[in-house]
Amino acid sequence: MRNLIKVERARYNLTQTDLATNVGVTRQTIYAIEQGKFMPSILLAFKIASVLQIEISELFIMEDIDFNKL
Amino acid sequence: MKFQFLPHYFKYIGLVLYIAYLGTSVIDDFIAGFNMEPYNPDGMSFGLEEYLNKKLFDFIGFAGILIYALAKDKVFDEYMIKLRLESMYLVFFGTMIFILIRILISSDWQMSASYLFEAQIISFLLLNKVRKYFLIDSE
Repeated sequence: MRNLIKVERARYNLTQTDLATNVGVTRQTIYAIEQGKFMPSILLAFKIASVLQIEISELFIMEDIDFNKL
Repeated sequence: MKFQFLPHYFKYIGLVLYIAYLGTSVIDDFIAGFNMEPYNPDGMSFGLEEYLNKKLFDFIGFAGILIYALAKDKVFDEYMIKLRLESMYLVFFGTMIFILIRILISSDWQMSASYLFEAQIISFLLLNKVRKYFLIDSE
């Protein structure tokens, strides 16, 4: 699973701290999501998508390898 | 699953209780050693036994460190909860593996429940701190 949070943040000129404040988490959590170290909950993913005004499926992109997981 | 943790200020309450327990235990053991008294795990050397039962004292110490471990960190969200749960998982199975290996080495080996309890909580706190440092603070 990859995500375009960094790209979308840049589009709105938001820092990690700005986005974190808007969705109510820490900057470290946004960093971990961007780096692919942490998969957010559905609720948090929706919040991030809402702040960045983008569809969740466009923000978080499933890859072929993800279908074989779990 | 929603995990309810204690508010952050409980960290200070837990720490004060545990430090009081630890400090008194050290002073007690020092006095006992200084007076060359035989080791007595259930007694206290400096007259406190009239006011405090040793078991109650142990309970306060263990409760203190448990309260410390259960209190929220200043920075707390779902990523922190994930790190915390992973640390608990690692400590739990780490302890089980340690006990298995220890029993293999000497079959009559035993460990008291209070030592296990204390070792698990301290290991959890240290592991959680180290993982947070390497995964978050070092970025």
